[in-house]
Amino acid sequence: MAKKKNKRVIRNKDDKKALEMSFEWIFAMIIGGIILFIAIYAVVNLMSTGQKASAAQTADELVGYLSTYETGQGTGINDQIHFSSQSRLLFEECVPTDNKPFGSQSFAFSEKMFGKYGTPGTPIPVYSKYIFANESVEGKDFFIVSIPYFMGYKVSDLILIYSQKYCFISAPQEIQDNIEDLRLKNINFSDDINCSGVKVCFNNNNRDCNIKVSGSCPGCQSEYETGTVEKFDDNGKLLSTNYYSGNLLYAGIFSSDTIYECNIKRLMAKFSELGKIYLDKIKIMKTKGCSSNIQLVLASAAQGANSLQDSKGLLGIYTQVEDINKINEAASEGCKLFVNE
Amino acid sequence: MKKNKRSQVRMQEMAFMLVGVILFFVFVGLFGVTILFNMLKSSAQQTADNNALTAIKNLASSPEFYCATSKTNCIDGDKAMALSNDLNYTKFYSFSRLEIIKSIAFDKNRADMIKCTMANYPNCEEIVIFDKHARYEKSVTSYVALCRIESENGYSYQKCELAKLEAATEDKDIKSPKSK
Repeated sequence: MAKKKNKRVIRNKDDKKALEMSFEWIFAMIIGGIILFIAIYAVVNLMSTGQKASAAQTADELVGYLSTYETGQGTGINDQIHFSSQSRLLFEECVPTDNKPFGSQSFAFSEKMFGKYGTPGTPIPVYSKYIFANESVEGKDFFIVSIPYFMGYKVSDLILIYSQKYCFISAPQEIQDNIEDLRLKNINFSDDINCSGVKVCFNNNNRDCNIKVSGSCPGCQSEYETGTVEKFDDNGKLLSTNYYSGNLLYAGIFSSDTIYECNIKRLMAKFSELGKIYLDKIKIMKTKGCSSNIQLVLASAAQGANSLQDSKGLLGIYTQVEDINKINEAASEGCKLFVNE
Repeated sequence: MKKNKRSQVRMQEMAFMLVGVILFFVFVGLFGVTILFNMLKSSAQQTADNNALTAIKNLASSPEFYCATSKTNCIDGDKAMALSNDLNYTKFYSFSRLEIIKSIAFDKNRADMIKCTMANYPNCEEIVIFDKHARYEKSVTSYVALCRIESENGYSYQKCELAKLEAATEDKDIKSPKSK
């Protein structure tokens, strides 16, 4: 045993290649390694937090920027936002039952860095805006359109956000005129089904259509006053059917089914709250000598809107809204409940 | 034995130095994080202020406020009064306080203004849409035309006067006390 031990010592002494390292060095290297690991971990985490914070700030600034899209009594506003790098707007959360009765919608921002999208920032909640878009909108250029939505009185502005190219096939003249008035970008009109972009067909049953729009208001000023927007997958399978009235036609085209249905509930809650305000206003107007029989139909429409289950219910409220419009139009100039010009 | 003791002392020295190095980096890190956090906080506050300013500029055009005429930057006083009774709207806007002050009360303290109620409207000075009673707040104002329906000899018409729309946001910098 003693012999073996001696042999090993001698071998170690003779071994010129062996690196003699004291315990202090080993200790210093281990601790140094740990420090370096912690430092790298902290820097990576800090970078990711910084990226998230910057993304959240961009989303927050965008929310502020969207406030400028209040059309008042105008017909619409459109704009284009350009980002220097490929970006993504995520509209994943829309909860009609949150922040009762108005509901909420939130969106997050993410930017492409080193070939892949970074972690999206904290979603920023939006309570007073109605943004219609797909769950994820990607690109460097984003097109933003704000159009008013009336149900008798103005309910809100519909903010549409898209980045894709759209091709409107066999669009009726009134739709073409509307889109040209709004100066919507990235939208082409064609009668050819092979045109590039998302194919939006009007009263057309071609299997290649991605979106089909139908009008169902024969007695109205325009056939497309009310109707449906149907979305199909690449195999022509029906994915969703959304019902619209007025400018919601465009919201149906540019947004996903989930966001559309959620925002319809939020819009109807707003219509109902505004209805309460107008009912109170009628009481004040009565003291100034303005009589009105709009009360009953307005109260009924507001109540109906509050209990709306999905967009299909819009068509029922639409007939009441037409009655509200007629009564308001018939009122004398100083006693009109609302004026839409 | 002597060599062993010297090694122990050197190890102790190294351990102290390492603790010192770690502490140094921790302090530098904390300092950096504090600066970053403060910068982030102040930029968030700045964004909130900008958003409030943008929002108030466009508030008069919103369906809750706009007049029953085609006037721009005009607030319907009757609707504003109805809105002040609707508590649901406190959750709709991101402001901590929203009110309309008539021109006759521009140089008055808020405490001295006559608040509008359904009983004294329109003979009042301040329509408080809502007030969340934030401890510290920053306010932004926008001048508007405040219109309401009036009648004379059986004829109804819109009567307008100058007013300011004041919106306050909670101040998270918490340096200045609540404005008067």
